[in-house]
Amino acid sequence: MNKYKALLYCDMRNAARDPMLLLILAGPLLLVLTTRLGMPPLSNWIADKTGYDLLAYKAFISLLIQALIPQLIGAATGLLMLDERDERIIDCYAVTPLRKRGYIVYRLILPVGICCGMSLLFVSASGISGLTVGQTLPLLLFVLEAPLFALFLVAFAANKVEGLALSKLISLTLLGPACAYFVAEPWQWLAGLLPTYWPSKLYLELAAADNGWQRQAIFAIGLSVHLLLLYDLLRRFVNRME
Amino acid sequence: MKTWKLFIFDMRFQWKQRFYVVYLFVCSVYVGILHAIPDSRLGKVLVLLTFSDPSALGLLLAGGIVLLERGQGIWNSLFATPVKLWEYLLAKCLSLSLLSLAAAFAIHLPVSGWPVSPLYFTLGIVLTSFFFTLIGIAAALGSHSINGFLIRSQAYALVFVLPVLGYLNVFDTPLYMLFPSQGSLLLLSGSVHLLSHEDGGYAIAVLVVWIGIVGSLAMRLLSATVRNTDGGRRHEQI
Repeated sequence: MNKYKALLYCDMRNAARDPMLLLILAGPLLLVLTTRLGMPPLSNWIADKTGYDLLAYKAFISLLIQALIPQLIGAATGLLMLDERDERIIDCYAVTPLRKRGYIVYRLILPVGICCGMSLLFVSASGISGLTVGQTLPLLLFVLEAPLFALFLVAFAANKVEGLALSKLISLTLLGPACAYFVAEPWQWLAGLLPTYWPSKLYLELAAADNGWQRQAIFAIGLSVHLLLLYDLLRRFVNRME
Repeated sequence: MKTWKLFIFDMRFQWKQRFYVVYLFVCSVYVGILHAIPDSRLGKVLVLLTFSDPSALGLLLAGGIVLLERGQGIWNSLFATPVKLWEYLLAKCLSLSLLSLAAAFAIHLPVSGWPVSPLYFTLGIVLTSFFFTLIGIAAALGSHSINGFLIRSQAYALVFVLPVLGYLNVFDTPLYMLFPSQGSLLLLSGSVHLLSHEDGGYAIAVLVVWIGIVGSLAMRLLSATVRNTDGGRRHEQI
């Protein structure tokens, strides 16, 4: 455990130096605050100007933000890992008691922890999420996306420049919530290739009044998609490191 | 000639780093989304999308390239050759503006066809790309990590987004005329309507002035990073 403590201490010191690490914490917090404080006046202003009711789409906005939180955290973690790989810092960790395995575990657990905290904060404090803290199944899937995005970058990018280019593709996963909300079935199932589709679909099912077996099925499929992707990306990353 | 060789090298590098493949994919998704937008709003959305992504892609990518080249020690060899700093910057701007241009046309042609004012539209893409590429380079030169660069570049670019509020009729002020992004939005709107020569001239002028300002800042920062003094005489290369 001490070996992780040392790395955590190191990260906390770096957070003061490297503003992006602070942003991993501050960015989602800002999103929550902006939604909580900015959404009602913005909605009123738009209604006054155009007659358009923004709050009618609050479920969609909430979904987008819930999908954005792991994106922010995952992309920042992935870019940090690429930076560390480019500068051969990972090789240095490999010869410490932490070893490469410990490094990977630490780097992937930390974003999960932060993402958990931020997502729960969003659900309880944003004022637009229809979920209660008890309905955490969609959050569980969203939270798994933070290490997924980080691994996607480190598994496919040879360096940080490629990582930046590939981070454009990560932002396209916001199509998952958009398809779940706007596109009719069965066409929206095509978006099932995107991991973000499954928690979004589950969220909408939970928000709907009718109770059915679909929820369990969507969660099971979503969890399988996330775990399979995590396994595949982890394998690719480990192969790349060796 | 040196600029041309650097430009070709940069193009190859960007191809190898899969910039073109990624943008081909991103553009196809944009085209799909744009087809779902009603015609009454399509023009504005198209201009804003072109401004925020293809035109400004250099902001992110140029900084990443600079950080990687610096980290890998490429500059030590590169600036030991007769390559001048401005040639290095110009090659980066040209190569990324070509990618911007390709991405912008890949989005516009299938969605709204050939631009109404093609010359102004093309100039809008190229000059905006030059401007944001130089900002990205300036931000990267002051950063030590990719994450630090991301924060810095967004902070630098944020202020230049203000004219978008005017474009969306949220908040208008004549002060927007001083912003390069006002010129960008004017030129890019040449894709959907005819632009008067007065507006076109103003937009080009404001962008060129800002490119000059940011270019000289990037030159100064690059020079401070790579240039050494040798016996009291400053020279371009180390």
